[in-house]
Amino acid sequence: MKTTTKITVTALLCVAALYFLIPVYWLVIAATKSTGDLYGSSGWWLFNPQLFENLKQVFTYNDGIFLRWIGNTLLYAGVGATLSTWVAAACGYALAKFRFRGRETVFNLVLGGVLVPFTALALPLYLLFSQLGLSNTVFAVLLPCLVSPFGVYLCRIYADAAVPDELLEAGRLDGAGEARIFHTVVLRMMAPALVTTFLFEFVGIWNNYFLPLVMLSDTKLYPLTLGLSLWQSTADREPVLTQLTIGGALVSVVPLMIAMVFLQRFWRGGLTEGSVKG
Amino acid sequence: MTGFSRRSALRGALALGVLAGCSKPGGPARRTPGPGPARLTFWAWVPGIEKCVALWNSENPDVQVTLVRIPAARSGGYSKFYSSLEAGQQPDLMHAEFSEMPAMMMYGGLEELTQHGGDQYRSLFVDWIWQQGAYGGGLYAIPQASGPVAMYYRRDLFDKWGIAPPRTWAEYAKTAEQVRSHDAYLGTFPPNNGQYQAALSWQAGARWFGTKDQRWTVDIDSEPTRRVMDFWQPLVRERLVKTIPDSGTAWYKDLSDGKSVTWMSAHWADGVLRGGVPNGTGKWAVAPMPQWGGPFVASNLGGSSTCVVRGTAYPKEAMRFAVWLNTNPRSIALLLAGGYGWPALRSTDSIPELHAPSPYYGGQSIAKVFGEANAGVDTAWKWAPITTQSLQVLTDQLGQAVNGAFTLRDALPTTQRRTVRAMEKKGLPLSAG
Amino acid sequence: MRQKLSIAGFLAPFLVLFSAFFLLPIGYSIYRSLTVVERTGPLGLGGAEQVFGGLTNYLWALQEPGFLGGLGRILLFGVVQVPVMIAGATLLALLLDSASARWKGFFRATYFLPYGIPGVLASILWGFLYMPGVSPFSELLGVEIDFLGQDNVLWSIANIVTWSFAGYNMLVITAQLNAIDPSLYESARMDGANAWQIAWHVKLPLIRPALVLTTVFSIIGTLQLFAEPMVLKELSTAIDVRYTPNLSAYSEAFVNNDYGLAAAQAVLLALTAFVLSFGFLKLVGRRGP
Repeated sequence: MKTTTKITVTALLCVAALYFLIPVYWLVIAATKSTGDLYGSSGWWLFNPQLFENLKQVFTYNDGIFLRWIGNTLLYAGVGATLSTWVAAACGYALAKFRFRGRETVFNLVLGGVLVPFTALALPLYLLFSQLGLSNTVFAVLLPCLVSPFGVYLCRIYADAAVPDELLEAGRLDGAGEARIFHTVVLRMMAPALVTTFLFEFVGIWNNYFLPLVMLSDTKLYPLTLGLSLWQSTADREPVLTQLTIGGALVSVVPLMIAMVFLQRFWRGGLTEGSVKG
Repeated sequence: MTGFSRRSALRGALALGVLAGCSKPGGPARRTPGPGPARLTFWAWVPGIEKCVALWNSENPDVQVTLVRIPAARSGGYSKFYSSLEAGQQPDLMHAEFSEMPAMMMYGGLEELTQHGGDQYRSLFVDWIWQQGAYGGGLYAIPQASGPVAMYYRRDLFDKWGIAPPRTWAEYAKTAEQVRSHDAYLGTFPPNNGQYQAALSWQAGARWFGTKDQRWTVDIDSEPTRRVMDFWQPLVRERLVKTIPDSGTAWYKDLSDGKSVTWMSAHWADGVLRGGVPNGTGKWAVAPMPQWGGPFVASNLGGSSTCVVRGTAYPKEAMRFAVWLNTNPRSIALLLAGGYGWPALRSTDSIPELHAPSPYYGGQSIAKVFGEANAGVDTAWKWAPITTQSLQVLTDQLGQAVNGAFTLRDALPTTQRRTVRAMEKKGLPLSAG
Repeated sequence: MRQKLSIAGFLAPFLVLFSAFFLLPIGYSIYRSLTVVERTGPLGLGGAEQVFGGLTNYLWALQEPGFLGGLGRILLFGVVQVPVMIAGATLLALLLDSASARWKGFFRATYFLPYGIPGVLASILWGFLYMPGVSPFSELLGVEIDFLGQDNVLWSIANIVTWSFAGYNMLVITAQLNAIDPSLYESARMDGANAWQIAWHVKLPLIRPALVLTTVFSIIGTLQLFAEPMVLKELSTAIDVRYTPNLSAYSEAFVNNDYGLAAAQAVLLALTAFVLSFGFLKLVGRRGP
């Protein structure tokens, strides 16, 4: 009886794992093929593998623009996520730990922000940045990413639960300024929520496709998602780009998947707090 | 608290004013020239065009062009252009298909060129192609290339099966049946490709758009187009042709596997075919487009121009570059290597690269077929400012039709009606006729 | 006074950014949704002027069959996909949480890994897997499955979304499961409950907050569906430019250049999102303890 349950459970888990892994397996296999073999051979098995040739092409095509795209993505996601986490932490902390008029209004406004479709934001943002002479610059992609309503929500919930008032009072009695208390004591106590917010934002920015699509005309500033979809969209004119898209997708997906595997434990703490109170 | 909200409301109002003030639907204001050489920005997506720009820059230190590669046409290139107009960040030169130029004019994006002496170049170009940039007495583009249509076909398989390439549409239908008996398809009826559908109707004598007394006319639900749809209906219903989107992976696979043995397309498709079906060398050939009867008529698919964008500080220099790009033999040779289309030049004798026999087509010089096609295009066809939208409606409707929701012909009245509505929504004057 | 200043200091960075990059654009969108364009001159090419149009754009949006059709389509999508995904994620979380599971770390990581793949790339990838003639699934089964046809493509998209987000939702639920005091299980077992009964009667009620959270986010995500149909549109004749409301608004704004209409559609979509999210929260709130 016990063993049957064990086998059933494991079998179910294995089937689910297959579902999640098959597309990745296909990607790995497809990335080794030439353009002709991609259409002409079985998708399940290797056929005249030439992975390194393909990858070389990915990295050297158009003077190695792919490397720039990787760099840009790291820049946008890294800097954007760091700053937006700090901004969200400050705001969430203030909303959780201070009483002031309009507090709930601000919080509800922030929650409402989660619901706004990006199409309502993208065009006006583009016009705004053009007026400031900042469209088609790094800032046009970075600045809007600094606003993370969900981050504020998470940080507020977490600060509410995890930062004791007594500690703040003690700090104040010691004569420490509010900014100092926040940076030395509060941020450390909020660490799990900060990590969660950071990862959330990082993935969010790395996923972002629409904003850079609207903002950037210089392909040298493109993030990976935009670059690869540019390759894909021009593939009907330059068919070799189909192969480059697949190779590029492999290169960009694999490190992130590995990162996900190692970082998944950080997704726990903060989110639980959020959902308990949510 | 109230002070804060009043201030912020004021600030918001100011910022909104800034935003509202920046949209100038009449077109961008003229920029002022800076010191030093004229610096021009050129947005295009033609493969290999960067080599032409480099060549120009090395020979013209006083006019330096910066090329910005943008996503192709409707994959984002045009969107980017329109947003840039709205924001005053537009380039000085823009690559545009014939079909999109009226929309660019409508948004005030194109510089009128007769005021800068553009008419002097008219004799260099094929007349109907020149006319694609002429609307309401003005000139808005220097033509680059056209897309004369012919039929690419698998000569090896046709020979093997003892079939000749169809010369008329009636023969096409019969050939489609014969090819099916060899477990292959004669071709594809791509419901997703509005430009292709337009090209089929263009050949049949349709004139979807036009102008009358300075107003626009729409005539999509017309006899020639109905004839085209009625021709394809039985082929689609009996599954004698494929109805998948063209230029997709599955479609390429059909071509390279010999499951789909013709492709009706433009001269520029040569590069696409060689790149997408590398195993086809020596197997393909080109024949003229099947005929409806009467004198020889071909069609045009795609075709593009180099446009000077309104607001540039250097309209004359920009026009000079555009003319050079599309007439200089060395520039054209570079563009041809990238596979840009059929030169818009009146005389192509100066371009030996165009006429060279190609091993991919078993030594055939395909330029002969396409040259005849280019001379046989109905010259009266015009596009409208809502082309993209109209073709979208058509392709949406055809997509449903090939899935069996209604007949292909039934797609036309809806397309007609919604095109008219779209023009009304844009505030364009329409002729009742 | 000093405290007021520091509160302002903490709030300011976010509120300034939020006003500049959220409220201001939204205000501008609402303003544009109330304007229409009038053209003058021969062929309408003479010039154009933006004038106040009242609710014209909203009427257009509602009369256009495509926009409402798209809205109906994603509602259908949401009604099916969201429960299936949440149920699947819950099942996986419960299985992993059960004593019978082995290699928990490996499985959890595997399920979570698609979350790191951007929607655009996931769609490109699944696009190949769906494509007639290329699809390895059709090859495996020996029959051509029309993943991209009229009847199936919505569910093919649902599959991509499920693939991408099921693992993430599972992780949120797992986190909540881990927070449950194990002594609760002990006492249930003392009362003679088996593993199945514990899962159903003890665990499930306790992870309710996580389920509510993931459901709300899934509803919002569904309403904003964009990248997946955008990518698959190139491959399927069954997806048109009004397939989802966001796709409609995108093509009105960036293809047809009708910012007024696009803005009106975006506003309508945001209102729908508000109504549905708060409606759902109200619903579960009333039935809650």
